[in-house]
Amino acid sequence: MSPGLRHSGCVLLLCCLLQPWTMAIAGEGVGAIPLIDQDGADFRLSAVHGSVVLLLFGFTHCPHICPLEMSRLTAALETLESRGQEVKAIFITVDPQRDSPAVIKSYLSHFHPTIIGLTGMPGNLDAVTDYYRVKRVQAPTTQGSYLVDHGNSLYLLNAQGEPEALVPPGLPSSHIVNLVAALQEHTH
Amino acid sequence: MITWRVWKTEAVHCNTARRISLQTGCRCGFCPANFRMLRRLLIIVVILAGTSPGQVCAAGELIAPGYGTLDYVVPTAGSYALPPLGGAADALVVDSNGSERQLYQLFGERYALLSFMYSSCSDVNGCPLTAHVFYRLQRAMAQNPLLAKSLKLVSLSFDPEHDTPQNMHLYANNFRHTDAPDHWRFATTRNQQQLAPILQAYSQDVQQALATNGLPTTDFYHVLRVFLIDPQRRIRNIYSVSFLHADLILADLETLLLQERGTQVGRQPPPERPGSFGPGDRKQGYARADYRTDSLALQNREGQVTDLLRYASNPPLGLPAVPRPHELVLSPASIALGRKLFFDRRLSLNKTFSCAMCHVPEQGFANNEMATAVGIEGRSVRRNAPSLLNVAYASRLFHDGREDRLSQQVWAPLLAANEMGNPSIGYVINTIRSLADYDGLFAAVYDAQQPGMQNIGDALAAYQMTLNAADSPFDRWYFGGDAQAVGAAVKHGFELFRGKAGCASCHTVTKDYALFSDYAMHNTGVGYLSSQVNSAATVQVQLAPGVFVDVQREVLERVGEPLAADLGLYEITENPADRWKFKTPTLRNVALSAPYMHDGSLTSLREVVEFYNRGGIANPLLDPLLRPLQLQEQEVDALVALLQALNGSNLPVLLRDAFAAPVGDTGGASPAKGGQRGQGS
Repeated sequence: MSPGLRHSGCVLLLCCLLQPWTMAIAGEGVGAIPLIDQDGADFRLSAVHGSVVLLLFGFTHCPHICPLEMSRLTAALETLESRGQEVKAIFITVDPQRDSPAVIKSYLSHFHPTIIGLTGMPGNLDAVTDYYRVKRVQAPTTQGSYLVDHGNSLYLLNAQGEPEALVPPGLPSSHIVNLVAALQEHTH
Repeated sequence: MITWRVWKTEAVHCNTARRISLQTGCRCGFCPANFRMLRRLLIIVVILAGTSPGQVCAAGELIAPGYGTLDYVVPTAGSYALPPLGGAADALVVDSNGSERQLYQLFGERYALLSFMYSSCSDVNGCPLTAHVFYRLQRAMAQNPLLAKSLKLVSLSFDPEHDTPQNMHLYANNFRHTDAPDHWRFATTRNQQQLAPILQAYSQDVQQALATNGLPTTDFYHVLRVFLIDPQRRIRNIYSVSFLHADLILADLETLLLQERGTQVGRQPPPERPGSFGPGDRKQGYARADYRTDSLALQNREGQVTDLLRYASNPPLGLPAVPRPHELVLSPASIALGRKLFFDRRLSLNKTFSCAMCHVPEQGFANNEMATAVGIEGRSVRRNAPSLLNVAYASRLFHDGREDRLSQQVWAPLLAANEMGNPSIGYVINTIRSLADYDGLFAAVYDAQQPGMQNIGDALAAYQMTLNAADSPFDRWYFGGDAQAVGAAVKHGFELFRGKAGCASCHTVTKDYALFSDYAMHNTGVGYLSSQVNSAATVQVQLAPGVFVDVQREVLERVGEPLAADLGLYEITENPADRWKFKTPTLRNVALSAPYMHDGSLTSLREVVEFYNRGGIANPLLDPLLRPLQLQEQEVDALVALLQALNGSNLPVLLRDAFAAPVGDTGGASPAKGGQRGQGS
């Protein structure tokens, strides 16, 4: 048995002990929840199963951390692309009220072109964010607007759509690249 | 010597940020509702794209130095000490495998860095900064096995509701496949009950932020503090936003390791102290990186009460009889009472600030560390704290000469809002009357009187009238006839002093004694110069020996209070001819009381001599005594040598007596009643 496989086995066992992610949602799992992409088309997370996925939650009116996170993600994607390493990147809004597919599309035009932007029916989005334990709270501002506080670490999902790691903001894009490469190596 | 330096890594996605900034700058595709967002995005992007961390961007926002390289040279490891700051508490936490563990277990056997985090923290200079610095350390540890053996990084969440052990497991997984899997540990707690005592033990004041509708958000208000903890579980440093940098942490760690090795071979005895004035600080050469302090640790200071009265009744060689207001009681008891008041921190509004904190005994009863004084709560004072040595002879007091009696003068600093800050005379009197350790002391000296305005002033004056320091090498030569007491340079310097340089015109010397001051008012141009607009864009600020940074004036002005204009004697007389006139200070013990001039603008005696050699600063009211002196280099040296030969031989006695004084914040005890029992003696 290769060290990588042995390691994966340990993690699998650990995940079972820690209430497996799949228990959080019944039926076909989070991959089956209908969402809407930036072109207005139906999209389910199962569409990216089989790939390593970088998943970020945010919203387009987010003033500080989201643009930084998105630019870090873009930098990582550029490097991965130049190395020919396949990875999917997804941005899911926590603010469906304002983030229509068109708004998300305009926002994404400033970042890496392969990033998929998703919104959806509020209930469906809730199911996704609950699954990934992303907390989010709508916080009115004095200007009569609101922000959506949310967990802003980057998820690294394995080919089965399960979280492998959470990358906190502040770690450089080179770390994301290394992480993706390591996961792909251990998967194959 | 081990060197752990983190080489320049990319500042957070710096290049991408710059690229995006260019992109957003030329696109107009944003819908109008997004304009504000776009502007804010640009601000952040500009900050991150800036290559100089700590630089102020156009919008006035700052990015912490931890993201980039430091603007200053990191002090050499081992060139400083990190005394313990208290114990680091242990506690039960939950590790990233969901197991309950003691915090100490996570710290490992050696040093640990402990940070607090929560995963929805969105302040770039908060949790992401810590993550960035920890990542750099983690990389350094991966490359240096010795470092890896010596350090553990621990991130503890203070949001147990959302940062579950599963989430902490996912954070730890960042390094599962790397070469350094166990260097950075993540932990959380079961619930708030488990968390609260930890936050309290580490003084982490965490409050949930509320939205304008009063409902809690997922944000927390907290002050970023990262703790460096030693193997004995003591806190050795606490890093805030401005100092959380991998290079500083590594230098601290190396310093602690060097110190460990040093203590294994036995503690070195304190070095013999150079100089003739005994314990205390010397700041000579403080501007240079190789500066070594020779200050004595507080516990090594030996206080010894002395008979101070003798210095007033029989002053040391070179001083005349003390001019003494006939009504002033000068006795051992009045002097002891005055000394007790002088060192009593409770006599300020916030009970923390004594006279001695600007008139520091071991710094010539002045302050070597600050050009202009700073009072309670960091409030700026516009003038330099003058030395109190030989103040008994001053016929004018304050730099502007506005008082002539010590017993009256003392009320100004007690009442100045930016000095000791007391709101009224009655407030000071009531404070003293309320302190049990003063019971009976005033009555014993002042005919059964209670503490009052007159006798408080008299007591403080009595102590200060004994602070006479002379019998210097100069005095022993010039007045004592000991030809060996000084060298040729000093003798030559004195010739110039009375002759070519003309110093003695104001710093007077008679054949029987020398006060080295006429206590008259003169305009040398120093005040005139400081009244001119200073338009320099940056101000050099010294952080540590040999460590200077250029701070933009605009930044300094934003955080500081500009010093009020200073017109000197004019403020007392309102006579325009008196503008920028200040009192001549005595030169006795002058080597101890740097920096110089009424605003502390000159840092060394050489600078002062060179200032007068240039003839002062030209201005319409310049004192006619000032003119360019045409002194040669070696003549300047001789004058400096003379000034350095004016330290009184009895200074160590005065200092030991000062060190024996109670400081007045020793709780309910009645320290040194009557001043005869010193703390350190």
